[in-house]
Amino acid sequence: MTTGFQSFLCARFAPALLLLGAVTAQAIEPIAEVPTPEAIPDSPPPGTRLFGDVTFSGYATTQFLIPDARSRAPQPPNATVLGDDSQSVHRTRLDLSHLSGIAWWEPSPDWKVLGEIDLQDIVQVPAHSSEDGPASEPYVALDRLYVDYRYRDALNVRAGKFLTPIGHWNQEHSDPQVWTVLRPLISQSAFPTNATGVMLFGSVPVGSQWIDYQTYASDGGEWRPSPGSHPFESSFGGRVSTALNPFMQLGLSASRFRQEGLGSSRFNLFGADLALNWQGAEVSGEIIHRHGKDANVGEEHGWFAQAAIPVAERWWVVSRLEQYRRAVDDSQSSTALLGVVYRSGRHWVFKAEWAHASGGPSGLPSGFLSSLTMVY
Amino acid sequence: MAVLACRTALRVARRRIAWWIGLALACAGATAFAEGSEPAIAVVVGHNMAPADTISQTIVLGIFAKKRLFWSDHSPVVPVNLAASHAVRRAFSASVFKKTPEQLQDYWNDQYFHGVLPPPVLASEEAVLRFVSSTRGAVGYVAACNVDARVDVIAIVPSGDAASTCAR
Repeated sequence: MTTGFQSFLCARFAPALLLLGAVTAQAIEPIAEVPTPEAIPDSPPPGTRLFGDVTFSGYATTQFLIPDARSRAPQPPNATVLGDDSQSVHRTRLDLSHLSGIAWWEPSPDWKVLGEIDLQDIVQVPAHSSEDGPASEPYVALDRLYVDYRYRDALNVRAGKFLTPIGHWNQEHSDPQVWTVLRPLISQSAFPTNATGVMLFGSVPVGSQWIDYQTYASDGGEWRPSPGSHPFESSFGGRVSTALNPFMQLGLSASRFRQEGLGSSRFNLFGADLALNWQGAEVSGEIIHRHGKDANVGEEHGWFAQAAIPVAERWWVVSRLEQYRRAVDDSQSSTALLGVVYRSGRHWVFKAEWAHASGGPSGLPSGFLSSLTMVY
Repeated sequence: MAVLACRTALRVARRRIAWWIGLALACAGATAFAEGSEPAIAVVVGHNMAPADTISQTIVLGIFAKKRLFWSDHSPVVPVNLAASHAVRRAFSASVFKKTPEQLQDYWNDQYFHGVLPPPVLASEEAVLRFVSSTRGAVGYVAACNVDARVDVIAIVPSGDAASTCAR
């Protein structure tokens, strides 16, 4: 009897019960309508919102370096070829080499302010100075400080201090972005790595791809130049880059400039860079040619070719060949590098490599280099 | 008698051949129809929330690569993604970028250090429809079969397997 009554109820009210159930289920199953930051497992963290529309991020790098005999040799006075002093390898050391902070503020869709400071050579072990090398000399470098006005997608204006748009490496040089501890010479020696001035830049659709361009001018007056650097006295130039296909990027750079401390010579520089990415592997290279009227300092040229091949989950083997000729001592140097990289999720990058330099001035980084970088 | 039997056999054979030909044509027709209605992904904006002008796939790429920041009336573009594991996101990424979301990691890593973050994500196509239909300048994408009156379609992106997401 009971069963019969239940059957009657079910048959009579089933549609209503089903409808009620569906409505209830929809009511208790919330649909998130607030977008959340992208969370691809190996993407960098989305930065920290400090207050208002200010986002803060950055990275810290610890290095452990063991120079070989060539790199330990005393460096002649004119041998300074490195834009980044933290890459000098004169003695075995462990140091906190970079503590970088990047903050950007977008008060409106049209405006953006970005600044990056980099505390360099903060702590070193051994801490004391010796005949093998100096103690740490902490320094606060101003890498970037600029304001962008977005007039159109194809025309944006940037004013302030920015990374010189020559080659790919110089603009994407931070430790988490690059495959090696050691930076190629052509990305830091043939031109000042930063410029203070005005830049026009944008992206234009052409065919099935977008072409990015940057053109800039500087009248010198570098904001907080790094010690020992030769900043621009004046410069103008530009760069275009585009994807030739989904896996290949090409960039072309040209610049005409004068540098402080290098006489009155005006340099002309041309560069090209190419990168192929496929299935987690990357093959890339850059070539630069600089010449000027004063043959003693003007002529510099070089290239590097690099490959990063995945060999296991999160592990890559990296190798690079580089050649660089500089005019000041008419020397030609070669560097061969072999190393491994481990990228752990979103925050950690470990690199270990052996670099062997030959030719060129003594004091070129050579030996075992390793680093651990944390992105925050 | 034998001639009659032979004619009957021929008639039956003809009918069978005609049946097989008909079946083959029907199959071909069904295949052609299936190809004609290939699953697609619709790039959508909210009704009256953004210019509803049709855009090319190159512009779609620019929007979701954060190269295209403004609509034709200079209002800001607000792109939203589906989660990287979502079938429609993966089909969209393969069609527009020719890469998986994971293969775009290097691109976004570089952009990150210039203060550019990838478009934020929403958990479902329904959430995308709700967000773009209520947010000025917002643009997202859903399987074409899930488009409804709340949104305008500004581009159609071909897709291989987005149809499987149509059973909501």
